Amino acid sequence: MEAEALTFPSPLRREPPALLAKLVLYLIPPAARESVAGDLWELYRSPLHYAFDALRVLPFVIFSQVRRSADLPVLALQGVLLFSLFGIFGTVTDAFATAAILALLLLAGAYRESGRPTAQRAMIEAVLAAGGFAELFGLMAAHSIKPGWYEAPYFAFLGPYMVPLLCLARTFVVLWEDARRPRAISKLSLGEVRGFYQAFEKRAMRRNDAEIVVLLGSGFVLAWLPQHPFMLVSLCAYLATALYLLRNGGVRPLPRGADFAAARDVMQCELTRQHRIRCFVGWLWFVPMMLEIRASLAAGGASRPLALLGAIALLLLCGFFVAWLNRERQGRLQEEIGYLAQVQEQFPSY
Amino acid sequence: MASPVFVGQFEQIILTAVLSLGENAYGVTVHAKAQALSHPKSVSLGAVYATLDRLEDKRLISSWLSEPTAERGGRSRRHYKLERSGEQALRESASTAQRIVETIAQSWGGAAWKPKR
Repeated sequence: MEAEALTFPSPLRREPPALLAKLVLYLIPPAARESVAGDLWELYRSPLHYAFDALRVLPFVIFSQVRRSADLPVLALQGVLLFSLFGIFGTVTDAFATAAILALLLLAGAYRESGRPTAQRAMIEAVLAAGGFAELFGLMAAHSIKPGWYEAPYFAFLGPYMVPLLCLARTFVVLWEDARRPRAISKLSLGEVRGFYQAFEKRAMRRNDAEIVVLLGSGFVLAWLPQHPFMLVSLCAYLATALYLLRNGGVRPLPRGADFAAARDVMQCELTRQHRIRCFVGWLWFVPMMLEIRASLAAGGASRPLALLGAIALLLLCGFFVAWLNRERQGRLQEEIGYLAQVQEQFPSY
Repeated sequence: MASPVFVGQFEQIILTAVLSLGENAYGVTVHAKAQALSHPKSVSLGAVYATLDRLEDKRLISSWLSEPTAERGGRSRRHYKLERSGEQALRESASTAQRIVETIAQSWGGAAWKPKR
């Protein structure tokens, strides 16, 4: 019987139908796509079994990628920001809308391609975002909005001028980051790792000090601005972040007597922690501006629906701007961590 | 000295599977081994992926992608290996389990009770 089974080819197809395989492939988050799709293919018995396997695996894989990509402090900040921005509909609806957008942001994070986008992709994204924004302005012009609406300084700055600026800035950052891509090194000595770590420690300290000064300065300026509850929230957030940076913002020193693997491990952890701090502070800079836009809308935006639309577009553009800056840093961080993981110890030759 | 990392029971099973499979530890094989280790309970493949990700985030294991193969539709395998901290965590878990077994055996009497294989 066994010989027969071996001799005659099985009439069953041993690979999933192309359409089903493609659908499953797109449903798997990119970071896990290669390995999970391959494993499901390897376990293939029938189309139904394959689909059932995929349906059972997908929730776990998506949840795991959501957990991995989520940055809780940034998410909390985005939640507060969204909730305060929605403050025009009523508390329960605001909470639902905030929760829905946060859930979408989490999902988007899980499905985001890991690594930095290519210069070409970055340009397309910037052109699309800026193009949409320009289109909105065109619409508004067509509806001949009252000229007084453009007097607000943030519209003057972030209005039509932002379109080419954003494209240029995005392309420049990608090309610049490409140029300073870390050199692929295969071997390092413990002394060299310590040297790299100390340089990173100094860089992070300088950056933290500068950010503390700017946060305190901005807090001082905010305290002098006309007060409303949202600005008070920004002021508190700035002061709390400055205090956190002062107390815990520094890079943890390498443990005494740490060997090569331990030093490399600590460096990878600290690179990630500093990146998370930078992401949070990156979002924090835009909080007062976003809240100011929201406050001016509340003061009379509802009576001007196009102005409301414009302001929402502006806020989305700001969000896009911060998100891509953070994505660039995230991609660079992944490259650095990846290089470090591949580096082996170079024993000094005697 | 680094502080010890605490791992749950399912994480111990996955770490043990990765350890025993050596260079052949990837999603499908880890799942099969975890299934055998946690018999008679069944283990879902999705839970294995989620736990492997979590262990990697805790830096107890590391992973890399192999070359694509035809039997996987031209896709790569993500191979896993135990890191030093993973070995340490597994050793501590095994010691704890050993102490539990010894204590139970003392209380119930060595001859009257033996853990099921």
